[in-house]
Amino acid sequence: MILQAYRLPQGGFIDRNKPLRFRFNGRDLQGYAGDSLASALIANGVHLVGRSFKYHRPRGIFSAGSEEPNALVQLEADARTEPNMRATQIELYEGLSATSQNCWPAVGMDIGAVNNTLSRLLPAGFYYKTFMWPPSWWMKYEHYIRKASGLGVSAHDPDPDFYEHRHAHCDVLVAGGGPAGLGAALAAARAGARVILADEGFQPGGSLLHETTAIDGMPATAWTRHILAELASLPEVSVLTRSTVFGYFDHNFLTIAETVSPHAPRAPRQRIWKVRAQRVVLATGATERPLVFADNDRPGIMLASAARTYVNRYGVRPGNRAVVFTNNDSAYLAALDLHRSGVSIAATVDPRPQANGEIATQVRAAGIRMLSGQVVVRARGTRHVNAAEIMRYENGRTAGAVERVDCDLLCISGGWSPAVHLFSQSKGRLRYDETLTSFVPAASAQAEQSAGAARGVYALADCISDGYAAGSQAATACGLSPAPPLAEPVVDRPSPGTILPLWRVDTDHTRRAKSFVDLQNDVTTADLALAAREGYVSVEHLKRYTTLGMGTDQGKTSNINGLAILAEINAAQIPAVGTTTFRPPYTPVTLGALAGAEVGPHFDPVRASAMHGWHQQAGARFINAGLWKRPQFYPHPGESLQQTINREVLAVRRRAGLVDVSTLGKIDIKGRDACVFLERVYTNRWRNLAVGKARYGLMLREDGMVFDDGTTTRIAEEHFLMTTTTANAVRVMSTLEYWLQVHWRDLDVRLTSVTEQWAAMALAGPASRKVLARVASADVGDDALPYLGYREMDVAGFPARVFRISFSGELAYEINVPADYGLAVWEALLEAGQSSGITPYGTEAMAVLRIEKGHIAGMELDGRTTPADLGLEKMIAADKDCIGKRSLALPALAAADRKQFVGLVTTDGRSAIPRGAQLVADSGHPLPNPILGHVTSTCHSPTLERPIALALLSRGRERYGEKLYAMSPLTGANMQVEVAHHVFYDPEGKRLRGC
Amino acid sequence: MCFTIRKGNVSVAVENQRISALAELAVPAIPAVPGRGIVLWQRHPLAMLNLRGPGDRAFRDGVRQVCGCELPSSPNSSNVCEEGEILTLGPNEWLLVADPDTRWSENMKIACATLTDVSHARVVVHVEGEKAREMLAKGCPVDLHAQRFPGGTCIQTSIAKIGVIIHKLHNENDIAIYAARSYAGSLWHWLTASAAEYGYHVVAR
Repeated sequence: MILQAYRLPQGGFIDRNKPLRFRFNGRDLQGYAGDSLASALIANGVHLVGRSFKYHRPRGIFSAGSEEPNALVQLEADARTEPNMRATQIELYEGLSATSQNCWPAVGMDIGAVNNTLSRLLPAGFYYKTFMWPPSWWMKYEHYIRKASGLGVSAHDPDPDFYEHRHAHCDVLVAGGGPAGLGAALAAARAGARVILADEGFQPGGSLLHETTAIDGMPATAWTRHILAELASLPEVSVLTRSTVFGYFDHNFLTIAETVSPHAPRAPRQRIWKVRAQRVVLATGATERPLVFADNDRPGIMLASAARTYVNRYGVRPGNRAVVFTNNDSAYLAALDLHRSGVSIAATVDPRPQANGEIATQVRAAGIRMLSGQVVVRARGTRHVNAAEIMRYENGRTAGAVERVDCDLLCISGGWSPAVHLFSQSKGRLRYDETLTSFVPAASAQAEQSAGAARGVYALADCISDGYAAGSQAATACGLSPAPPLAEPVVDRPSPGTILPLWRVDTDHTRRAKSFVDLQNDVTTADLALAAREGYVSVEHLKRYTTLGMGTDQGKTSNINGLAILAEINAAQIPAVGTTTFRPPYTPVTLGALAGAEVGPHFDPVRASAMHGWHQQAGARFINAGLWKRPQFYPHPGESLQQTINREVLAVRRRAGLVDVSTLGKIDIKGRDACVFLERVYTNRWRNLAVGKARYGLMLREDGMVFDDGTTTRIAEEHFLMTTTTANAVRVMSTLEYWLQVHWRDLDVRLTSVTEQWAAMALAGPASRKVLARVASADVGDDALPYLGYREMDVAGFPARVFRISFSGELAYEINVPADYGLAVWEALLEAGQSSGITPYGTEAMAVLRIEKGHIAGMELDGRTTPADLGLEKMIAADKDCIGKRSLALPALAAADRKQFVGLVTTDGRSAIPRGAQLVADSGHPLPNPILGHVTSTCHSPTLERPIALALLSRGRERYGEKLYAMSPLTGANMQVEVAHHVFYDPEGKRLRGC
Repeated sequence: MCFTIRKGNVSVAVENQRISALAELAVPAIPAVPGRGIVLWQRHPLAMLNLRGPGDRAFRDGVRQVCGCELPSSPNSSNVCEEGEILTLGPNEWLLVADPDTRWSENMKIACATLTDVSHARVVVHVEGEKAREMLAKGCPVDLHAQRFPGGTCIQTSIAKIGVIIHKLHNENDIAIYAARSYAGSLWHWLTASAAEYGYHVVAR
């Protein structure tokens, strides 16, 4: 175990009594509770944590927050491994294990680093230019490019954890738990609002966690605790930590990714919050900008604010001897804090002729060497910075001799950019502020306001009161009385001086060295200049060409510098260049969290009939029909699939079968005008349907295509029961409601879906009457219950609706019972039918039976077939109108060469006809071979003992007996077929009439 | 409840033979996850009638006279009476819910009204406990906070892609969920998986 050599003896938000062991790149190290992985690494003197994306240059810890471009690690291994995790945000825990990414064999000795030497061959747009030709080789190139570049690797094993989503509603959502966010949450909460405060850190407080100043007479950290305690005491306030607001969508709908505390039992690993907020306060803070100079990517170079965080919040020394390079006063706070913590400050370097803010004065008073009117032109050292090269800076140019100042820490600050990401996602408009040298929110597009540093208000006291005012306003906008005004927080904070814009340090001295703008994607100033020379003047094009601002950090530290440099190169104004589009997510979100609990078997809900459990016990194999699970067949041991289907089909043809048809849609239609309604909905006539009779009906869409079919039964004078196909049950119901509610408001008709009320089963086969008679309370003979008749009776002692209808072509009954009785009646019928050889059958046998009988089903009702196409033109009553009827008069729908519904048999009587096969006249015709039609449904008919099929064929009814070829590009099959009538079995319908 | 098909009184024996879609799932004997955050129970058997009608004054008077219960006056609300509950489903649609021995029936004569027996069409599960609202928020997009969703509110929404009616009878911590019968298994899985975090037990009421 290595001692924490860089740990300060006291201070910070860490618990020195709770040491935590962890492992990095195989080394066992120690940190403390409250550490981030980055701070624990710094405590152990580890700065080199990874290699860069393209050039494999050594990279260290650059920031202390979510903007981190460099310190990305592979966290844990095997099934729980996560790539590209920012070491700066990972909360240290006992036993944590992480490794560096993008280096092989090790971070200190990386073969890929040869790319750095070859970099002159790898300019911007290198991939686009080099790997274009030949195009067919791209798949090969891509494989190696992916391996050579890139970041971490994803897990290959199934995820052992679970994830969930959570809906939430609040009056005020506050994004960010720093001084402004806490102020806003406090004001809204005190006004009685329902408040959600989300903070991305594992400790809320934001910049307060590294503030050394006192607020209201207490340390900033104590003040933070005080506010959090008040928020925690209010029942309508939720404070979420480790929770990043990552998306801002329309209607104030925002999404939060929460990494759930590892201590919560039985809780998910991560959680996505879907928040609908009346008002939003964006207190997302600001991101410090780097300064761009030669070799500015070396480990040991970090943002000045990050250095403050490490010293003050984590109690670690990021170096022993520091140079602070800044164009604004904020970094002087870092100099002071480092100085106080025992880090020697070799020099501060400032391009301004005279740093004259009060903080700069304090630095001067501390006896620190201050180099005014000077800039760092280059960092020295490879695996760690060991010196800064400094030159004079006059009128925007470097001048004079190079001075070398030794250091192992180079803190940089190029000013601050408000984190306007969420604001921009909400479609708010930005404005460039010359004084602040940054984009700030200008006009809101939604019920939202920014507060604190997120809108360029930087002084601590101002942030707290700005947030408090925003929270109070938000609560007022929700109709609440405003919170009592906040006494101005007493904060000792000197006023800052003015910033000098400095986007890049450009000097002949370092012409051949790289100056990085985007550290994560290895985009240099030279790349931007090249892209500009090649004509990429739009910032959006520049981004895609150079990859500036892409990657897991989405350019949080590089975007503003990049577009400012582009403006400089093109001699344009920064506002004219504009920003790239900010899109969700703010920081990466795992796919597991996005999927939530809807994974595996729970991706969709399942619908099951009342007899489902019986089917399962009977060994049924199930098929998905929409969300329904339907028994496909009931295999016996040792049977092949075909044998099972044949057995079930022949049982229906010869004895009796029972099939679960509960999934069919059922609509109760009642009212004085029920009959008129049916006449308008269906193509055929309904006025003359007697009570106690059922009839087959055909429904069209407005464009004349067949929409749905099924039987409808007149249960009473003004009461009908309509059945629909399984697939269209919901669509038919909503379509009928639409016509009633929108167009036919004068009709006295009321609909109720009763699909779920009734368990339905079809008892089919020559023995079905005998079977039913054994359990029916009423006569089911041909006189009492003729074909298409309907009777109510008891079946096995349960109230039932019995319909004499047939889909199989055999004598058949459909029996409906209230669903809770379904299982009992199903079992009773099977028992009653045992002596008759009754067989349960599934959807496969049902399909074979209907293909043999030439009934249409979903494959034929594909939205392109008219009644005439399907041979059902006689179902259109001439003396009345119905939905879609007028469309049938369109010439195209009456064309003679339309595809018509026919049957097919193979001429050899053996070969199976593949579904979807194309029908052609000549299989040897050169391509393109004119296609005459296609196969819609196909099966082996055990009844006819040969393969048969149904097809849609141009002029099909003129072609009976004609020989064509069925060719399937999918299966490669090519066979001769003969066109036949679509009814293969019992065309006279004697069997279903039971004569 | 009168059953139209039989036109007579259905024997109690038949009612007792109703097998709920949750018969093998919502069983109190199943050891649940320890903890008292959530209590789940199924309300079964139930009588349910779908009522459709114009919703005008004459219709409301008719319902009150025949059913002895006032129709709820505003959208997304319900009325609880001695005989049972009436839930609003739409501007011209309501759901009557009662115990199976209710005198409410499909054969009640109310002018301009359509009554349809849907007693078997839905399962009803009650979610109780102080974590009930938090748990349902895992799948329900509607704000169930007492400010927005006081006792008596009923809405139609979806939970984990399952269409549901959510009815808060009286208090914050007792929420009834109605789902179509065929979804019962999936709904139950979702409920128990979501409740596991808080601990739950299944009871019979």
